[in-house]
Amino acid sequence: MDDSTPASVQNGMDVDTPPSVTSTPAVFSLDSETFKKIHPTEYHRRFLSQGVRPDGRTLSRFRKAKITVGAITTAHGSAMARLGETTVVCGIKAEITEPKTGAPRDGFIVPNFDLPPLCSPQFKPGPPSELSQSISEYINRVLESSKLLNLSDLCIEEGRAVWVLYADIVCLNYEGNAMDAAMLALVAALKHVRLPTATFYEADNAVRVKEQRTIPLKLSRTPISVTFGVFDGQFILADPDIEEEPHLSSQLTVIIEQNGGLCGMLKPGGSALGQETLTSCLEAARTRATHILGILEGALAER
Amino acid sequence: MADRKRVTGPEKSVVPLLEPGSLSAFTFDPEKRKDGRNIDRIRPVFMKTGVVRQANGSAYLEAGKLKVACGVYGPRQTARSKISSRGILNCDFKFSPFSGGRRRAYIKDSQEKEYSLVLRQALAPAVRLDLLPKSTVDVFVQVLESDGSAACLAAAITCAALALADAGIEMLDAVAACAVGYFDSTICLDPTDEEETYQSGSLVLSYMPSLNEVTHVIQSGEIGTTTTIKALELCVDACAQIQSVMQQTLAATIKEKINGA
Amino acid sequence: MTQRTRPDKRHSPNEMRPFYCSSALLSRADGSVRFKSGDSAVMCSVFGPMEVKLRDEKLDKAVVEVIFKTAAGMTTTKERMYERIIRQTLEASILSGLHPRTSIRVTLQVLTDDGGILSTALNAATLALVDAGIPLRSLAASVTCMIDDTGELLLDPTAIELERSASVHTFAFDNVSEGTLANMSTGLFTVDEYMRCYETCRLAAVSVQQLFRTSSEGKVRREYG
Repeated sequence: MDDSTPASVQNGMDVDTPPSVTSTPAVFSLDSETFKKIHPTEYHRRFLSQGVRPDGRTLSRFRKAKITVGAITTAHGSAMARLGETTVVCGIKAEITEPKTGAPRDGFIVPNFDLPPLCSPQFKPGPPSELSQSISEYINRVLESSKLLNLSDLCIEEGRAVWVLYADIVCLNYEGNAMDAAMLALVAALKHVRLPTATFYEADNAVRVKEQRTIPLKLSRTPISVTFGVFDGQFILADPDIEEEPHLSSQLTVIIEQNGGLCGMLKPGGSALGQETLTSCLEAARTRATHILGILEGALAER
Repeated sequence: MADRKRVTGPEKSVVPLLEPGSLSAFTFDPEKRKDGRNIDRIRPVFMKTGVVRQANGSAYLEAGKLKVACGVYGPRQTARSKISSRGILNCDFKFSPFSGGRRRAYIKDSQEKEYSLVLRQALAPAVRLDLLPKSTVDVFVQVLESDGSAACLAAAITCAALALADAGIEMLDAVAACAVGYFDSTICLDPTDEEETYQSGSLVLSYMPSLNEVTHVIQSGEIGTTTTIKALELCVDACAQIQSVMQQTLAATIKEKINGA
Repeated sequence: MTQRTRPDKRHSPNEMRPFYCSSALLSRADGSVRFKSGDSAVMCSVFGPMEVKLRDEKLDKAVVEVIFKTAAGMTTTKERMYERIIRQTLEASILSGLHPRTSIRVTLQVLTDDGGILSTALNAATLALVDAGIPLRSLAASVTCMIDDTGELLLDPTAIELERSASVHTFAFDNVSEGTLANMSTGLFTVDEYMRCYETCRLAAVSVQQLFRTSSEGKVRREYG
């Protein structure tokens, strides 16, 4: 990663001057590290105008994804997903609860995404940040509305006992694009889940389970999240990392499944995106999703 | 009280009981521990530094099924109200919700608060806080999988000390910690979760091997003094072993940096 | 497209619910608006530009804060997600560079919720900003639509209609940019369905923009004669 781009800064930060032209008189020049600190937006702009990003990727290049399943033996299903350096772990624990009276056969799935202070200096101990709360909520919405799990599959005894799956996703290292990593870890962990056979005993109003965990979950589809960042309203950056995220004018998350159908689209405000841009993002998302699905299959086969 | 800042599920849920027949009968036998160890052996430990790139220093520790990660941020500026001539060490201990038998809530419970306090008490004597005026060092420990609460605490202390070293925070020595379970008259090093259910007491020792000094001891249960002394000796030996692994890990990290950079 | 009466007596799937707004309701707020779309009503108040806490202060722009409160008063992760979307949408419209080191606080209170509450809230926020005299680059108008389980597109659905949805789409458009400012879509849908919703909402947003215009014109006329 060579960032020896010379950065001559003229008084008044002349944005229009292409970086290759040194304008005279140059009042002072800065090394790239200092320039990055004092005017990060301009720093990124200089790279993007040349079609490349500070970490060496092209604008449409995603970071390398890696998935491992089954690391957490206390959980009924677990997976660790890495997107570049962003690392998240998802652990799914199954417990027993009473179903709601209005839906006596429906179990529950409770996803939560946490950004602990461990993963980045921007998160302090205390209540969860707005980012983690909104990601948790959006993941919850997607799981519910895409009917990923048939909740009646989680029924043990109608009206008396159902499974509740707590899917907790913890970020260990936050280097941008938590949504994609979180969805990936969650889906991988769900596919890894093995529930034990459960029987409801009327006599003591309790559920007892066999020791072996053998029953997998039936997922109706495999949703993959693909996020793009928009810089200055014009440059579309695939998989924005931590350096780029604070300076983006907008973000777009596409939740796409293996048949090309969509399970979600999220553009939480920011600069406008036209239809052609949306279409090209959807295309890129489809390609990326196919690639990720391949990696996912590979990881699950290794369990 | 429902945690309104998280997606909430049903109000109450329980861990299911095992079927009577399928219970793999576990009786504790000090001669034959489930993983084949002797009573004076600790679980083989694996350590790695630099796992959290965003942090100033970080470490990951694995001992059997136990998995702990730690990130250190600092020294960074202390809030105006708390400025002092000595640095402040802030420790935060958290079990991940999926780390144990029962799902843990995100809100800290009393055990996590206690362990946070123990972390600070065990590490503060070793850290040269006098060299960091007006600064705070934040230590965040996240337990990914727990296997024995006392062993988990010991692992957290060791992991945190390793992360502090990785962050380049000056210390008197790298603190190593280990746990012991008392089973009537037998003392077993590094008890697992299953073994812990049979113990009558436990001890966690945090020790600086190079200086032959103890930073922290916490014991629970009604134990005779001779037994305690024996346990302390066992722990001291184990801590020395643990520290050698810490040193190897740190040396390997430095070699990597020199060769790779 | 079958012509059938919708639960709230609308005849066309492409028809929006009647919407109204009344402004300057709160005497203490810099700007306040109550926006009603069918039976969904949101009250919005804007304070600003005003003093900002030092730790939140931005040196070159105003900080926009959004607080979203439900009718029942309990805030959960859902409200936080709405806050994030609304805040980032408004940040694109507000000329925050004109008021550095200040904060603009937008408080939204849901009065009644009959579906499409995010859209109603966003529209209320835009109008309240106008009422408060906050300088804006554009006006963001938001519309919700859904595709039901038969594949039919329904614009501005009510809560009852939403129960039968296969997918729900909320879009925000403004009057100067090409393209959508904000979007939240959930459910199962194809790319074609998505583009259909995009187009439908874009056209419908024009009528919301009309309301913005008449409301602003009326306000200017009232205040300046």
